[in-house]
Order: sequence, then structure tokens, then C-alpha cells
Amino acid sequence: MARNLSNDALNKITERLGNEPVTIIEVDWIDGDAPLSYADRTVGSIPGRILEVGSLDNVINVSGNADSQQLAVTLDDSDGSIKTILDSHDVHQRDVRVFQYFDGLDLSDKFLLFRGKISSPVVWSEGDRTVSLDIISQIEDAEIGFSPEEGQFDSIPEDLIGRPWPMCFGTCVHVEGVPLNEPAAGTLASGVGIIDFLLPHRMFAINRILAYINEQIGDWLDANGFWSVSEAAASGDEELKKQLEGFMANKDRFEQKKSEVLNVLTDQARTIVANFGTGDGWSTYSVTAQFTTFRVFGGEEFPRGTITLDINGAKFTGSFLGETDEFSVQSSEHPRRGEPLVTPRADGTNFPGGPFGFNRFVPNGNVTGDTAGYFFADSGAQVRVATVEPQRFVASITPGTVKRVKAFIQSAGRRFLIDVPEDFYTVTTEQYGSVTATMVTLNDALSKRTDLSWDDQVYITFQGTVGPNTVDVMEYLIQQNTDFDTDATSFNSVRARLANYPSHFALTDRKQILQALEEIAFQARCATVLKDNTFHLRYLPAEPTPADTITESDIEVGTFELQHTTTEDLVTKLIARWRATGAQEEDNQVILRHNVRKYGTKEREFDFYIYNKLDMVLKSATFWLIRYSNTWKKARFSTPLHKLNLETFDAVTLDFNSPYVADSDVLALVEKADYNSDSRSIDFECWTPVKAGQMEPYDFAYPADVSQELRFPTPVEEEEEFDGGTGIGRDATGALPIRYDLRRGVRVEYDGNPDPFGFEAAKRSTSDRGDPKPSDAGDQDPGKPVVGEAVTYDERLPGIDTPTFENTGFYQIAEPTLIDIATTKIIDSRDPGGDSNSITTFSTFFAEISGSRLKMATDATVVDADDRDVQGTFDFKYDADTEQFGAGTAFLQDD
Amino acid sequence: MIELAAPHPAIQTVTLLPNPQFGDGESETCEVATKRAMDGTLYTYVKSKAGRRRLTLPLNLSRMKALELRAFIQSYFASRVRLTDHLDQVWVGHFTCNPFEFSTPKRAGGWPGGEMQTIQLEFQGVKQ
Repeated sequence: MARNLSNDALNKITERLGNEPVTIIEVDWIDGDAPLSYADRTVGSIPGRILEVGSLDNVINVSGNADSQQLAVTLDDSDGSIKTILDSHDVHQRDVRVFQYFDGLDLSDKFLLFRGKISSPVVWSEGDRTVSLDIISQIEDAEIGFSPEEGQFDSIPEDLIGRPWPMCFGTCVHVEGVPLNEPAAGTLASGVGIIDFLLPHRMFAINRILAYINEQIGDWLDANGFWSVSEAAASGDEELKKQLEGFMANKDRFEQKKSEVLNVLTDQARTIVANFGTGDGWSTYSVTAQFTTFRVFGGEEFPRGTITLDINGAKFTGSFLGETDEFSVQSSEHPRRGEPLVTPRADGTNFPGGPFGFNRFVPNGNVTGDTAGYFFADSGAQVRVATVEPQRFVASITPGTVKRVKAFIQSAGRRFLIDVPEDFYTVTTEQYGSVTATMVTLNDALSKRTDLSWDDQVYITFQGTVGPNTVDVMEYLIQQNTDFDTDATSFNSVRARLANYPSHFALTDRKQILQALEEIAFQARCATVLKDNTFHLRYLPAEPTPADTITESDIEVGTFELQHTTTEDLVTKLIARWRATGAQEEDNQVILRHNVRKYGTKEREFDFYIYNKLDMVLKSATFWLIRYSNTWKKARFSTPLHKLNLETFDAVTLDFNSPYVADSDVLALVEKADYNSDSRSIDFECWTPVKAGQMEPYDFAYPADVSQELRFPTPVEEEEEFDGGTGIGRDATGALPIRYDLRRGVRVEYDGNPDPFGFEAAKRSTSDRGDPKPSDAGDQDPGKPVVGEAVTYDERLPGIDTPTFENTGFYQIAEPTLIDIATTKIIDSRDPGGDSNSITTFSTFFAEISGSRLKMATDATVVDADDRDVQGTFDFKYDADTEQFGAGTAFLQDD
Repeated sequence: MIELAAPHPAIQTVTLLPNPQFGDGESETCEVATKRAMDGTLYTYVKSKAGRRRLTLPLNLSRMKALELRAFIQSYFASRVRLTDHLDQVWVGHFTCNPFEFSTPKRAGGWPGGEMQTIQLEFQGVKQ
């Protein structure tokens, strides 16, 4: 990644004597115009108007995986040409290129020192007639992703403003879908009720019984020659009086029942908000609503116009008044309406012979049927919209496929994430201008379902077409969000390196692109370098190829210093936070300790959000633990300009005759390369893989390609107890209860090698010692997250309920009914009010019961079936020969 | 005698000044930087400044002449100036002193204005 110099330029910078460097600056003052060039002395047509060029500071950031450059320049503006530009154009953030040229070269051999943008302060001085400005490599860059306020939408709900839509890479497990709408929900501000709609029918049934009783009493009065009940009561006939009291007791009892039902209905009517009316074809019952409106806390969020609300299963149709939370009710529906309830009715028997040919109904005094119960929702009850409310969720704005949709249900005080049945939702792709979003639309809000206690929020497993190789993800982000190029060579090289460490994640923050790239690169153990509008990538665990060699002949006398990484930057307790799924309430952690005994506990947290598998997190975290928990030697020196080909992130071989750094040559990494054009020197600061107090490079400084047999921490480190922490439990052992992390949703199963990096085999997956094998050798592809088959709550249909088995016992032999057929008085209930001769006994027809037979008397009266007036006894004649009766009249006629 | 003419090359104004006082100077503006490596290797870098030289001209002027020079400077300090020195060498370049400081060290009987003023002009230019 060293600077790209032409051969002539390379040869020129190596000339030791008499070289004349010239700094040339190209400024794109005006968008679309040709750039203007300035030099620190006139070169051809380029005017010598650079009065002052500060030190070009090029330095790697603290985390060591990105760099920045900065330069201050003062230009002569004695002719006022730059002031003229400043008067009519905002030059901030305009591109500037800083070139190095050497006298004697062709102008085309000038080479780029750095490309940046004009940054404040931009100062024009009237007294000096100068313009001074800062140039910074890359500052205020672009936000990645999308949130609705960035578009041109008519109206955006407040909670969606600034809420990014997910960008899914690889197979993202349980990404929290971004709800574009939400079901209306409110709280009842006052109690509302609905009458038990079956009570009027019960009242109608009682009325029918009462009508029959009244009819009976009338007939009885007629039969006994009374005009009124009072007359009958005063008749003095004790027998009749008892009969009348029986009739009146029945009547009072049902009048009382009717009154009770009416009282209940009246009480129930006190809280209803809609008129009630019903009838049975003969009678009607109606009640005027006591209230016509009720308030709903949160009602302002409900749709306007006529809607139906669901309150604890009851339906209230009406509309909210204006923009208020007051709901005006037009009609209501009891929650049990529609259930197979039996409408109350009077039980009894229909007999033929009623007036006008109708059957005659004789009730038995029972009212059969159900009650629906009074519905009442007290204030505080939840209010929902009864009609369907399709819910739309954004799954991802990166391309891919929705594999699963899940949601939480509540049960027994715990939450369970279960699959949402596929027929509950549809997946679509929506185009919002340049944004393509994959959407999941639920047919209705899950929380309105009554089968399970669902949450509305859904979690989506999304298989993106971008990723899971982290380099693919970074390349996609660069292409989507910047005008910069990617260096194919370095990207391809790192892509191969990261093949075994896939990243499956969703970006749910709108980060700056450079910040996002730095974070992703850090987690993947990489470094991004932006040079000349091109991103380069470096795989940090791999030993870099040296770009040059530094010897004593390159270093200005008196400038070499041996330094160390700072104590402030030490991290001996590294906490890596990560998430297996997007549905986790809390992050998982990997906690690693190293060199605590040497440096004390210096804690720092890192968010490894690109990985959803412990193995990858542990791999990366261990690499950074090694880098951060040790003090490394750093070489600081200045060279003349012949090392202008080097820049940050270049590797150089420090080849000294004396063991300044180590006993052997050392492959160092340029962390800082400040070019001072005034003093014609470059100030270098190089990180070396040599630990403080040692004279040999550390094996795991560049661990990727070391032998997989090497173990971390090293035996020496273990012997000195630099591994792990220093707490009382550093040697604790034993067995802890097994927890099923997979079921708890904090682990994701992969379909590849179950132990791709050998952690389980080494029993080190959760130890604070870290990855025992920092080498990449022997690592295998873990595969991708397992999606599996959907298992929904109704996967197995229930069988039938166990019926109620009645305890019938043995069949009982009926006891004979004992009556005296000679004295037991009977009366025809069809005509109880007939003449007084209607009362009789069975003996007027039957003679006796003997020989298991009921025997008829020959003096029984027979009635003609067609003409009831024709009555008389039958002329029986007994035939002794046949021992049978015959018709004596017929015998006579035959005779 | 020194002649100042500006703006160069479309001359509009010429002013004549007396010869500079003893102690005037002419020097190079180019620079040479030397670097010595740990093993003694020598590196040198030059900055040629395109042949520019620096003239230092201490002048004693009458009050009237000083006012004339001041007016000339105010008009043309940002312009290229042609300077013909007391050795009849012609230079084209710019004044580089800033500010232009006139001092009045003593009275001068018989001089126009009755006072003597001094100024040290610094000029960088290329010899024609």
C-alpha cells in the first residue's frame, strides 16, 4: 500500500544531494470548474503562491485500524483572485490534492501526498493578503442507511422520525421489524355495560306461563260458577278455596319471577351507552341508553369516522367526536352474541284441540334456556379497534428473503418467542424512490388475537444477499454510500482471509460511513485505509509484506527514539458485547483478561455487533486482547525525503546494525508519517511486534499464520500468571448447572462445523483466557445460522375434549303406583271447569286389577268418537263356549 | 540613484530615490538544507526560489521625498515593481518589508521640509 510513484519519481527521491522538492496543491474551488494549482515556487504555469505549508500529519488512530491526515496551508492572495472566489462560493469541503514534485522531473511525475477536503478555519487576511486553510483527509462523511425523515413523505409518525430501517447482511436472526403503523389502543375512561340480551326472552317466557295460569283461573272460575277470584275466595267451600289458593300461589310465584327479571334489566340498563330493544313476536322490550358517549384515554390516536371498538370482546360501533377522545356510540353488541346460546322459553306440551285448530300449549312451569350474562367493562379496560388493522413492518432495505417471522407470547409471567404462522402475514417488496424495502404485513395486529397473549412486535429472520463475508458487506456499504473506490487486490486478499469468519448482522443505526467501516473492520480484525479516494483493506493478524527497509543510513542522526505504547491505552480486561439474535433483551458478553497481574485491571468494552456466534467473537476479541494488553516497543525517527514513498499502515523492516529494538530485524508498522516540508524530513513512528522488556518479536503479534500448535497464553505467561485475572477464583473449578442457552434465545445454531475453531475441544469457549489458538490455521467454516422448519403453536391440532360421563347406576324397577280406583277422584285437565259431574273415579270405567291386568267393567260408559253426544253403555254378552265377550245387540240383530 | 517604476511592465509611475546608505545588501533567497544520517550519510535539499535575490536598501530621505515614496508604496506595494539600483542593475520584483516604517531621527536644516527621514526598503526580485 506504499505510495504509487513513477520510476522517475522513485529514482529522484533516492538522490541524496541537491534535490529540490516542490509542493503543489490543486484546489477544486468551484464545483464543475477546473482545479487551480499553486506551488511553493513557480513551476511552469503553476504560480508560486504557497507561502506556508505546515506539517502533513498522517497518523493511525488509537484503535489502530484507521488513519487520518491533516495539513495547514497559507496561499498568497495579493492579486485578490482567491478572495473573489470566496465572495461567491462556499469552499468548505471542496477537494484538495497535495502533490510532491521534484525539480527536474516531468510535471506528470509528481505524486500524490494526500487528498483531502478544505476544512475550517478558512481565513482571508486583509493585511497579509493571504488565505490560510486546513486540509483534512476525510471529515463529515455520509450517513449510511435510511430513516423516513430523509425522504419526502407527506406525513411521518413521530416515532418513525430518525428510526433507521434495518440493513441486513448474511442471515440475520430475529431482526426487530420496524413497525410503520401500530394498532390503535386506548384505555376506557368510564365503565360501560351491555344488557344480557337473553333476559327479555326469559321475561317473555314467564309472561307466557302467567298467561296460562290466568287462563286456568278463568276456566276454574267459570266451571265453579264464580265471577271473580274474590267471589270464589268468599264462597266458603273449603275444597274450592284450596283449589283457588293453589292457582293464586302459582300466579304470585311467576309474577315475582317476572319482577326479578325486570329489576335486573333495569339495573343493567344504568350503564349502557346504546339503546336496547328486542321482542318475541308478541311482546317487545326496549331501553333507552343512559349515556350516548364514553371517553377513551388515547382515543385521539384512533381512526376517525365510523368504527367499531372492541372492549373486552364487546363491540361498540360509533365514531370519535372531532379530534377528541370521546366516542359516540351508535350501537353495541354483547360479546356472547353469536354464541350457540339457547334462548329462554317456557317449557311445556302442545296438545291438539286449541281454538281455531291450533295446538294448545300447556306449560309445565319451567323456563329453559341460557343467560348471556351482563357485560360490563370498568374504566381502565383496554379499547381496541374491532376491525382488522394490517400491520406493516420493515424487514430490511438490503436485498434478501424473509425466512421466518416470530413474535413473543406471554405465558406464566414469561415471554416466549414463537413462529407467527405464515398465513398471518405476507411479504412484499416496496419501492420508496431509491429505497427498496422488504416488508412484512400482518393481516391484523397480533395483540388482538385471543388464542395466545401475543405482542405486536415481530422479529424477522432475514437472509440477505449481501454477505456473510465481512468484506462483501464493507464493499457494499462503500459502493452504496460513497463515491470512493475499493482496492480490489487488498479486498480480495482479505475476503479470502475472512471466509471462515462470516458475519450475520443487521445495521440498525445510521452511522457515518467511515465510522461504520472502522467498526466493522475492527470487529473483523481488519483496518480500512482511505488513500486517494480508494479504500484499502488490511488483515491485521497477518504479517504484512514490507514496503521498504529502514537502516541507519535512512535515519537522521539524533532522531531515533525507542518508545512504548502508552500505559493509558492498555486494556487488560476486554469485554466484548455481542448478540446472537435481535430479540435479546440483554447483550451476551465475552470477558477476557490478560496481564492483569502485570498492569492491574484496565477495563474496556467493545461492541462486536457483526457476529452472532460466540466463536467469532472470541476469535476477534482474543486478537485485540493480545494487541491491547501488552506494551509494545515503538520506534520513532526522522528520515530525509527519500522515504516519501512510505505512509501509514505500510510495513517496514527495521534493519539496524545495533539491537535498538530487537536482536534481529523487525517488521514494523508505520503508525505515523508526518511530512515536514520546511525541514525536508519525515517523522515516523512505527509499532513493532516486540513486547517491552523483550528482544524478540512476540509470536502472537501477527497470529494468523503461526503454527496452530502454539497456545495462548504462552507457557511462560501462564507460569507468571499473566493469563486471566488475579481474583480469588482464577483457579476455581467444578460443575455449574446446565443452562440451555439455545432455548433461551442467546445462542444461534449454525449448520456447519459445530466447533470450527476448536474452542469446545479445548474447553475454552467461555474462559477469560481467550482463544487458545489465535492462529487462523486449522479454522473451519462454521456455516450459517440454521433457520429450520417453522413450528407454530397450532402445529398439532387438539383432539376432542373428554365428555362428561354420567353415573347412571343400575336400571331401577319402577314401583307400582298405588291408587284406589274406587275412591281416587280424577278430573280432565283439558276441561277442569266443566260441570260438577266431571269429577269421577276410575271405578266408573274399570272394575279391578287382577291377574296383572286392568279389567274394564261392563257398565262403563262409551262415547261415540264422532258425536260426543251419543253416549251409553255397551251391550256385552259373554260366550261361555269361547270365553269371550261379544256385542249382545249385534247378537240380537243377527238372531 | 535608485529608480522605482510600477506597475511593471505597464509603468505608470516612476520615482527617484537617492543612493542607499552604507550597509546596503544583496543576498540569495534560496536555501540549502542538509541532513546527516546515523551512519554519516549526507542528504541535501535546496530551495531555489527561481533566482530571486533580496535587496536591502537603507535610505535617508527628505520629508518631501519620504512622502513621495510613501505614496508610491501605498499605490504599488501589491504590484510588481521595477527597481534600478545605484549600480544600474535592473530588478523586477516586490517589496517584502511589511510594515513600511518611516522614522524621523533628526532635523535637517536646508532639506525640503526641514526633517530627515529614514526607511529600510526590502525588495525581492529577479535581476533582468
